[in-house]
Amino acid sequence: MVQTKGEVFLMRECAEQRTLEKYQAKINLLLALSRFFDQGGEQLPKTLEPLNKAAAVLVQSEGPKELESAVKILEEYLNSSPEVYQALTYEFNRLFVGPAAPKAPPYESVYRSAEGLVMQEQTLAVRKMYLREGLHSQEQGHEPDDFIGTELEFMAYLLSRALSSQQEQNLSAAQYYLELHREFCSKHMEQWVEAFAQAIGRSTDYPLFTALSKILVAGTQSSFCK
Amino acid sequence: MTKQLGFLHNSEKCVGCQGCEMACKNEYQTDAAPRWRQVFQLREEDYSLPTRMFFSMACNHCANPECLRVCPVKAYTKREDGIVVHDHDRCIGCRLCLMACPYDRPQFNPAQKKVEKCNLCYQRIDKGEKPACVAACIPEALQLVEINEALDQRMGVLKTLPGLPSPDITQPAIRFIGPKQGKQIRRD
Amino acid sequence: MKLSRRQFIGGTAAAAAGAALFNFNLLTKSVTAADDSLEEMKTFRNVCPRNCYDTCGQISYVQNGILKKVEGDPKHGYTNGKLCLKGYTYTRRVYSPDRVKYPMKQTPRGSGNWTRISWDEAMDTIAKKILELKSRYGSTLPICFNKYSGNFGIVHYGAEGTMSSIGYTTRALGTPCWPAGIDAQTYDFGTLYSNDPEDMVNAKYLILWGQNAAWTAIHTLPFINKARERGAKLVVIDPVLTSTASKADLYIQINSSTDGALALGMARYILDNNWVDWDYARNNSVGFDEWVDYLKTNITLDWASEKTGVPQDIIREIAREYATTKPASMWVGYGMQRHINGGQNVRIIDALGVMTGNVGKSGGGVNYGHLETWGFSYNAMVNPAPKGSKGFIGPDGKEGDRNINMNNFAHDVMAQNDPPVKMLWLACRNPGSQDPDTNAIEKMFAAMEFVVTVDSFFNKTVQMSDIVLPATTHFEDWDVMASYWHYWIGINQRAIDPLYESKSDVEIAMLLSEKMNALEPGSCTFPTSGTPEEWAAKEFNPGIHSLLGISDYRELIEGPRKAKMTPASWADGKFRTPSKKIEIHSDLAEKNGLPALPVWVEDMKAPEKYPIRLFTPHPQHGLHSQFQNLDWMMTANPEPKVEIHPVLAAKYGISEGDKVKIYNDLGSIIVKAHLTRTTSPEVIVSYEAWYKDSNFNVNYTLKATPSDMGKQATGNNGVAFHDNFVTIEKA
Ligand code: SF4
Ligand code: SF4
Ligand code: SF4
Repeated sequence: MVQTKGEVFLMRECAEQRTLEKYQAKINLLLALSRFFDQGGEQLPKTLEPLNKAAAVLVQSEGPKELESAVKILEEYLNSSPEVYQALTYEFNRLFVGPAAPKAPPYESVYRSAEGLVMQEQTLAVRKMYLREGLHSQEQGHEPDDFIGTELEFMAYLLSRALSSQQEQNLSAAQYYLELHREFCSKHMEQWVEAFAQAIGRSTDYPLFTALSKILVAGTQSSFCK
Repeated sequence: MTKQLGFLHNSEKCVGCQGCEMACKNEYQTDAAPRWRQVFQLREEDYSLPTRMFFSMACNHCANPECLRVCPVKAYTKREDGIVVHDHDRCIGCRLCLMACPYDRPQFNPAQKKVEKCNLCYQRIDKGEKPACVAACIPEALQLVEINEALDQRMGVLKTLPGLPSPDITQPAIRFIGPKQGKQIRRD
Repeated sequence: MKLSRRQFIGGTAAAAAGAALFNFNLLTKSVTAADDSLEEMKTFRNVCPRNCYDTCGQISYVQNGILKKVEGDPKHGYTNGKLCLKGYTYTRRVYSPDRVKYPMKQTPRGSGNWTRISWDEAMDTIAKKILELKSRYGSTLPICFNKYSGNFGIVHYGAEGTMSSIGYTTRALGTPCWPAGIDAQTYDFGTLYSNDPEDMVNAKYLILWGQNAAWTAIHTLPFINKARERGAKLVVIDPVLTSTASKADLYIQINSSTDGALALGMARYILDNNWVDWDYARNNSVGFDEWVDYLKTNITLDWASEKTGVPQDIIREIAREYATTKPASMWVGYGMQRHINGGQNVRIIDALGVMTGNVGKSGGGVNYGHLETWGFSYNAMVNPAPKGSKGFIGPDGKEGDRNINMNNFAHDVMAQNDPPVKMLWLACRNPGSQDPDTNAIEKMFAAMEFVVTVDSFFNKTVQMSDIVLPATTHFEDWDVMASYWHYWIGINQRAIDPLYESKSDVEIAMLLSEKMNALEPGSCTFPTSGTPEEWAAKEFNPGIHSLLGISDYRELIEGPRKAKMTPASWADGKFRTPSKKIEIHSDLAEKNGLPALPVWVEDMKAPEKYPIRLFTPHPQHGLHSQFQNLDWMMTANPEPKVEIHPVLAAKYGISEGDKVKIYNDLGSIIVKAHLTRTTSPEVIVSYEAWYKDSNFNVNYTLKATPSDMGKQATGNNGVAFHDNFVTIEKA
């Protein structure tokens, strides 16, 4: 809470263009990550570049140094040959999709119990948080609501609302959205993103996906601009 | 304590189908690892003839619950009806109860790093329903009973089975009816 | 402090305005007012659709669109509100992260390199392949279809319908399960038709012949127990001391495959003591006296005892008790007919029932199974071939599908030349794990141009496919199910939305039809519309309505119904054989190259090199390759094992827990030993199943040896699964 106030204070008092940019960068990164997971391995040639860009911007402006190498790895993959992209697609599906039991299923509830299932209490809790914003997953009932891509999009949405509220000088709204974002992070994303990243790291030999897992963990921390 | 609820398991009827075990998991949608109820096979060599014989055991809601005695945070309580309830919120996962229970019935959940166990479906019992495992047992081998003198006087009711720890330690609220063996025409 | 949005925003309009600026991809605005409360628990009626005697009535509990738990349906008079252990694991199946979620394509087959494709691309790829094969070969016969019992819901016959609607195809015909026994009962009575299992309470004497109800039909146990409480004696005859056998008053460990010899010995003793129900036998059957002559001249108790390993006094005891304690019921399991003389053994047991007048009686019967309640419309199955389709000209001169033997699938697929089989479509079926001779199956799959599999889990068959299509579970479908054992029929409601992009066989057929007709108008006759509920509704007809005493399928939503049939099969004495009588002498059997009479046919002897019989019966924790892969099941039954008698184990230097190599000419498996005297020193037992992340599969050692019967009623003979011989060594 204190932190949230601090952020708003920062945003208001300094009216610092750089802070706003940082927010935008973070939103962009969350969205790029969301697309990366949602569009699937087949679309990597399209989703990798925006992801790399968004991550690079964030690293520059904010500089968690350990991410620099991860961003570099992403960049190295950008101009991959079709063969490499093909191999990445297969690896993406092996990790996240199937049809064999995926090594790192991209759903929150899977990580929050021992041999987790989808559509568990966490899934419903996430659904409820979306509902608080008058939102629901387009595939509700079919795809688990706590799919990583959907959670990332929700986070991006909350931050973008905070940002636009700030620009409209609606500070209480901005505070509300930052608070909600923080709540969502601590109750959900942060509860599983590490385990998810570890599952990725454990299961792949491709530097791309290990790098991705690092960016994912860093990019989803609620406290990122102190 | 006014009474002691417990289980009566009849190995004569039990076919080891593990329906009770799965019905318990289904009722509480537990994780895979913890087995609040578990079906065990009796050893062939303890009986005159080899047969597939089983007993099913959950927490025995003992009269002298060792788990309760050793728990440092008082996660265990014993109800008026004898049910030993484990409070998951209080549990700190120290696992002392695991070591204390002679029957291995407190089950460690590695994901939650806490212990969990059978609470004798007290919510169901309070509603007048049977425990889920008892309700699921197709040959009616598993029953909810009041442990008392009258039960212990009944023909064939045993306080223990071969291979089980002495009931003197905790006075478990479980009674058994041993397996009955028919005639066998064997090839060996 | 917790802020509520109402503190700063005037209602949803402002929120909506804000949301409009954001470019949503996965989320969307809710049109209805936000209601985040927990819904009331809803319940739905379902029926377990597995290939199982019990076909349980189920109640699914659903909250906020999520399946919370599954219980037995108390309105089901046979399953009585209880499920078996498998039935309680369904949430783990529905919500397992391992499910096949989307259509996927593998390049090349077997490589593990999978791409996610849209349904449209999947259908496009499949349709084009079908059309290409059709133009290359002038017919759709290069396409081979194999479906069996993964889901016995009636609407699932839409999978067959998919094939019919594209033309004449090559079909795996037959049933691996129970055909020899079906034929035996077909020769004898005209069809298989068993008493209502609930009627077993009226039996005064019960023989379970190679039947392990505790594992495979547990809901019959209360009826058996009731009969026992009323004084009935339970006899179990089985080479393996099963869980059911362990409960018997008398357990007889018979030599495998000699059940007919035991029944003949009993018959001879019954004859000698004149406990024969001559009136019943002579009035209702043909050829009875001819068989009596055979008994007199060929059968002695000495011989029967020698063959079966059962002492003569025991044969006398059960013969006397069976013939004189009436009514006496026999239940013939499917295991005992999986032999090269299995059908014949069932015929002999049938004759024993007839001779004692136990057929057609409440509390009696030679019970095997029935299909009396299966008179649905098969609307989804029946589709005309497109105009101009070229088929296979059968021996009768008729044009149609080209049927090959399901029970020798690998061999038969490879043996087709004109035209060859180039493409496989598999639904409700996992031959990669369940067919005999896994090595041959692997080779055959490798020889195909294209393989499509519809399934919900990544099993061995999916592993060998080009395209996998995600199948719904029965909670995501409408359907109707009958049992081949009890007399109940239940409706299966859609309780939850289909997960991910899964679809039912009928939905897949509709999509394929749309695509094929777009590519080549008129190339597929499968309808392209109908909701899942409408498809289920169409399976009902006046016959089913009157059988159940309903006028609309929706009445089943109130509870399953029991067919209005007499509890005793054949009580009316109207047998369905050519002679309309029980055919102890069957011309039809003779015409099919079998003995006309229920006489002894030799069992298979162990070859010298492979002296040990390997039994691979049905597992307790799975149904074929279903269930065992779920996490709860892996806890309850973490690994496969082989049961070995201590005497046999000692001979091979094997101790408890050792890894054992089981092998023969065909292949080998390695599995942990469990020493037990529940089996005999001649037989080792390892249960068939598919374990997750394991290549354990008993069928690597199993030759596709045909059983003696099955052709007449099911198109092909069965598999002699239990005539499998191996040797063992410490691995
Ligand atoms: S459900 Fe009943 S018969 Fe089955 S294992 Fe449990 S106690 Fe035994
Ligand atoms: S069985 Fe074990 S856990 Fe249960 S009350 Fe007794 S000591 Fe405690
Ligand atoms: S009483 Fe309830 S909690 Fe205890 S084993 Fe039975 S079903 Fe499980």
